[in-house]
Amino acid sequence: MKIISQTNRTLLLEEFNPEKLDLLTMIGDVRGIDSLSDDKIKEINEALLCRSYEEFQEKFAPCIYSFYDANTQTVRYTLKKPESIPENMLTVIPLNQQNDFLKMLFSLMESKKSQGVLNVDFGFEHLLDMISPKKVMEDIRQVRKEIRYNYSKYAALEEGDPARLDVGDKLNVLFESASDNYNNVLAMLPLAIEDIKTRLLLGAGDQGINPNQIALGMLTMGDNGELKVLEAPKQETTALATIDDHINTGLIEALAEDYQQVNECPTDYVKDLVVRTFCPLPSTIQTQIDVEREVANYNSYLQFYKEAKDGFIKVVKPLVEKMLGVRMFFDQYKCRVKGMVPTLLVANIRPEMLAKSTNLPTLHAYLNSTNGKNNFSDTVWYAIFPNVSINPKEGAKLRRERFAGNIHKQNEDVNSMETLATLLDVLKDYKVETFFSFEGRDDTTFDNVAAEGVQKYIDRCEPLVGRPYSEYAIPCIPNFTVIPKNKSGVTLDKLMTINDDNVAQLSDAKEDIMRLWIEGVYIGASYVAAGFRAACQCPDYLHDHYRRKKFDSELPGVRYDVESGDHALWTRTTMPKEITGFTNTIKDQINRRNFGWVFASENAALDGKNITEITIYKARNLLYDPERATYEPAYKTQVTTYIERILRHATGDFKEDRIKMFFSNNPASQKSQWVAKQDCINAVLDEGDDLDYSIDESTGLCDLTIYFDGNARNLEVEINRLSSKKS
Amino acid sequence: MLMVCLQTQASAVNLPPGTSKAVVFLLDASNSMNSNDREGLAKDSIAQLIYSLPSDFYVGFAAYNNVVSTVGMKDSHDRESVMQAVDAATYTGYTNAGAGLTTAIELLDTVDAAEKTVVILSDGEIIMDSATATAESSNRFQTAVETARAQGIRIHVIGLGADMADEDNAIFSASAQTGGVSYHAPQAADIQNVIDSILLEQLGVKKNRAAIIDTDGGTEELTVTIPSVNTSRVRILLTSESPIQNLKADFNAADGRQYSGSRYTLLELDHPTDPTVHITFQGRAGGQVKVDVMTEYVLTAQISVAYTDTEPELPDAAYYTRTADVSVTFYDAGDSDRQMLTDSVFQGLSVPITVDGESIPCFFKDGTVAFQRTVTADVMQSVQLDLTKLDTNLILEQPIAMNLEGPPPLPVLPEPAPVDLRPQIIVGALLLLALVSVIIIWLASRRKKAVDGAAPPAAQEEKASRYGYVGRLNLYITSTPSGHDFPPLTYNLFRIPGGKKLSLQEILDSCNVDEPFEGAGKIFFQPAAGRCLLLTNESDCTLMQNREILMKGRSYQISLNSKVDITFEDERSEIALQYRDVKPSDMRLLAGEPR
Repeated sequence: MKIISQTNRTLLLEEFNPEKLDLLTMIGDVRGIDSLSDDKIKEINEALLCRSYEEFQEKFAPCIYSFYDANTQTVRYTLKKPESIPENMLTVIPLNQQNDFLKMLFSLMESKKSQGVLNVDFGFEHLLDMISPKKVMEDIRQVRKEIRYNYSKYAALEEGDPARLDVGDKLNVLFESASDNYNNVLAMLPLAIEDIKTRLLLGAGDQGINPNQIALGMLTMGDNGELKVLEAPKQETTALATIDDHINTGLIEALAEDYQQVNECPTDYVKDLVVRTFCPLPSTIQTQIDVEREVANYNSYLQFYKEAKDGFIKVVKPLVEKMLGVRMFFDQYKCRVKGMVPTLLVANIRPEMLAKSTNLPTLHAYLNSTNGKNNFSDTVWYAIFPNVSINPKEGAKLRRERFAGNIHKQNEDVNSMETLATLLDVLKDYKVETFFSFEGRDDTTFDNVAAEGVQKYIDRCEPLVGRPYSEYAIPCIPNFTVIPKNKSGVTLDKLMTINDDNVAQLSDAKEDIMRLWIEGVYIGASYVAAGFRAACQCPDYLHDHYRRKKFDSELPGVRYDVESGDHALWTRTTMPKEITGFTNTIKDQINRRNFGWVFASENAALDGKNITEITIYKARNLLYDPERATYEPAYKTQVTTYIERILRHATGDFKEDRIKMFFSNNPASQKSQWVAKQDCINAVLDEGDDLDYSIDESTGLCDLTIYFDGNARNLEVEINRLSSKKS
Repeated sequence: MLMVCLQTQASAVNLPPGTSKAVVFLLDASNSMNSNDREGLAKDSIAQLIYSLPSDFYVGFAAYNNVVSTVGMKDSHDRESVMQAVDAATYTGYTNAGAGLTTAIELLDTVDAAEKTVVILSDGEIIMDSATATAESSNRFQTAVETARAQGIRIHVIGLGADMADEDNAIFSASAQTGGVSYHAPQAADIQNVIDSILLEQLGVKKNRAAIIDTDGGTEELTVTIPSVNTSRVRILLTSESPIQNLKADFNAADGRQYSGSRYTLLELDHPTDPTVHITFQGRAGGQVKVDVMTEYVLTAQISVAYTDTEPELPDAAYYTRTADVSVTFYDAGDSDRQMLTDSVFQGLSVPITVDGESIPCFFKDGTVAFQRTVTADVMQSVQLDLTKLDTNLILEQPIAMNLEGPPPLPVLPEPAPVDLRPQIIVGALLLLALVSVIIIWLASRRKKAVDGAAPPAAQEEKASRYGYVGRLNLYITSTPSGHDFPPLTYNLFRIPGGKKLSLQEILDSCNVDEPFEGAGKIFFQPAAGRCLLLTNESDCTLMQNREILMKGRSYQISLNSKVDITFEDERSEIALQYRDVKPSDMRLLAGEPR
């Protein structure tokens, strides 16, 4: 790949963190200029270009802001930094691998992938409770075990022993991660909830015994020889027996001191909570328990936690879905030898901002700089435009709402078709193929396509057909489901009550179960489609999947037709199957016109092994061929673009004599070289393909005809007349 | 009918007497010029000016510092010697502009020319080695200016560098006192623009822009078409901000010469026989070469007079009523058999003629300008043709003497019986009255039309381009006073028939933009060669392309896929225009869409 080193740079038209730099801001004022300097492009790449999900996470650090509303006594979340709220009243919650919601989703996806079961059989609830206080506490237990272990080692070693310093370093790291919670009351809530539970419901859980039955006693024989458990003399408090040792005492002191120093306004209650949380229970200092107060606290904590979590998930879900999309974009490139790694240029701006008249010249200037030169290292080949609105059915019959039903309100956070059309009009000028997908809801999933078919997508895409940009628009369906709407309930815990014996117990009443609904998490199909296509551009990726076929390390996979033969089975997405498949009727409907970039969750086997991943069923753009009543395969557009770019480069901007050389039968000519590699899996000219050209001297146009397995695709290029200007 | 031919004679070999003009270039060769003109661009510009002048100019040169070096007035055959003097000038010593200008006036006294001009190029005030000498030089300068004014010599001043930014200095005052013009070039590189202005506006040299070529460092090819054949001389001037190298020209002409400087190359062809000149040259990558064509005719005029005699209506008239049909034809001054100006480009062009102070509107028809005179007696009249409206350089001795013969006497007849002419007189008077009324009505309607049609003068005058539109315009309204957000607009130029000139306002109107954009009506588009768009800015808007401001009153070629940013006259509204190609297949797609 001497001339074109990459054919898979992808521009992601989405916003992740408004506080970080975005494409428009970085480009700046473009009045009076057509393109940007090399320095500027380099600067943009440094800030916005990602080669992996981790790099994306680091560069954009997606986060959510929270603040407390004293009027409603609630916590509020927002994705956009509220300008009117002072910094010290705002809490920034980074959405990284440590975030429990994101961590839960990643685990869920990994688990589903490894199990290879369909949505219907997958136990979502087992993973969803990862965000419940119980699971949060489990993680903390692990931390506290490590703290205790290390502290014991630290205490045992002599002062001045180098090994002691090493352990000290480890302890510092552990204390640092523990102290993240001190200053954040919300983060302390699951700890407090679990702490109260542990103290009040001692003994419950493992054997499923109701805590109200517990009264410590002794096993004795009665006067008549019967066995009896006699209640031990009751103590004044429920303070726990302490088996203290100097290690725990030291640890308690260290934690208490750390809390006092880190926290701006320390309270004794929280101090005790921190100490109890991070020190093993038996060794905690004795504390008086006011059961009534603790139960009330527990209930209010749990209520507050549920509401906060609910609010958090509602706000963060769209952002998390986008982040999952980015992760899945990179995830498609599973390859032993990393060659042409897909790169993602994140615009970090809302597409509707980019599509404004005031900003389009800026986008033009950028794309002109990357795509309008004979240097192809920064060329953008694809774009991802997710979250296009799919209108709810109009004219649906209005019914009286006898029961609470779904509110069919228009999602305001979606991208409009008009924005897409505007951007397509710009992107097509620079031959950027745009993968777009519809908003993630339960009516754009595999389930829905299996039930309703693809007609609504065909109708929705109708305005984009028959336009100059149609061949650059690739509609991707259906969206992927991470958590289905009907299985998105998370049980956090149960409220607590006090029985007649003044003993706390968990309530079994249905209304006392604290449950929240995530309402489905989806990944836009465009991320996966673009990621898959970008992966297929890498010759090493194709070589990895076709060990027995010839490949050429110099050629990108622009001509790789995933629809052809059993290619769809050899190269698959990394997404796990979701449903049992589409019915034959639905597949007929898709095949009738070969619409869109369609993923399939079909039963298939390759070399005797069942395929458990989603495959590609159709890979078409919106260029409609009325003669054959079919949409054109997406690869043809990229091959045409690739050939044009190589031709422009090799012929010194279309010089006539060099065009003739390019197509000549000379073995050194570019065409001959391509023809010689026709049997490679990543051939630019596949078997049955051909290239032809004719030059119209009167108009100065060179008409290229590229035959894809006999079907002609024309490309007009203007011959270089720089050297023959007429006065 | 009687035909009489009169011919004016050219006294010089090619140049008719009395047609000459004279220019003396006066260069400040003081030491300070070393810093203001490190690259010698001033000399280069003078050289370009000297070679670009038509053949009817006598050229002289003087350079002053402590002393004045000079070369006498030379005609067009001997400009090389003037150039040698220019090249020989070295920047040293003081600034004795008084002696310099005095010498320039003296040089002009040696020739008999209809127009005399001095062009001074200086970078500072008069300074000599002592205050006395400075005062003396200043006095001489002022005396020379007064002499120039008295003799009708115009002095143009090019002020170079920061010291000449002040318009009130003594050197600039020379132009103000003699009806000349002052120019200021902040840097030596800016002299080029001044030279263009002096040539076109002050010396009346006609030139046509043939092409602007963006050079890429490789060999550029260019075919220049001379607008009319039979020219006496054609000068093709290539100017650039960087050297033009390896220029080769393929032409057919009686003789040809090439003059080159650091930023120009001039091809001078005598009597070209082929209207096309093929040129190849090499320019700097990223540079721009402007190609101008100057055609020149050295002519003699031949007046033919045909008389028509009619019997007078007056009974007591002794002579016939004689009407002279005068036609003026033009011949090459060097070859009286070769008729000139017969090309179709001259057909129908206006050549107002003044005969003994009486102005007659005339037009070219088949190479001839014709008019009528009533002759009552033998008379010698002077004919003056106004050739300034033609965009070619015509050298013709003027005025032309025209001898008209008086009418012959009527034959003496026997006394006729008295006839009562009163009915005829009454009928004649009535007819005359009717005729006068018709003329008044016609004149009134004509004036009204003129007023009605005055709105877009530029558009009216402009002829349709011979090229067709291609591509489309993308319009991005990036700022408006109202703050309204407009969607991106597209105007399909390729659907506009012919080469109709379009204003930006028309384009915005057809895109249904109701926001006012001040000055949009004065920005025009026309198709141009090489699938380009010709943008003419007649407005006070700020137009920018590739960091360059597009000047008012100039036309620029906008190539495909390029962008122009416009800030309108209100300084708030802004539009970014993109000129983009449309593939033939897309044209078919767009054909059904509204524009």
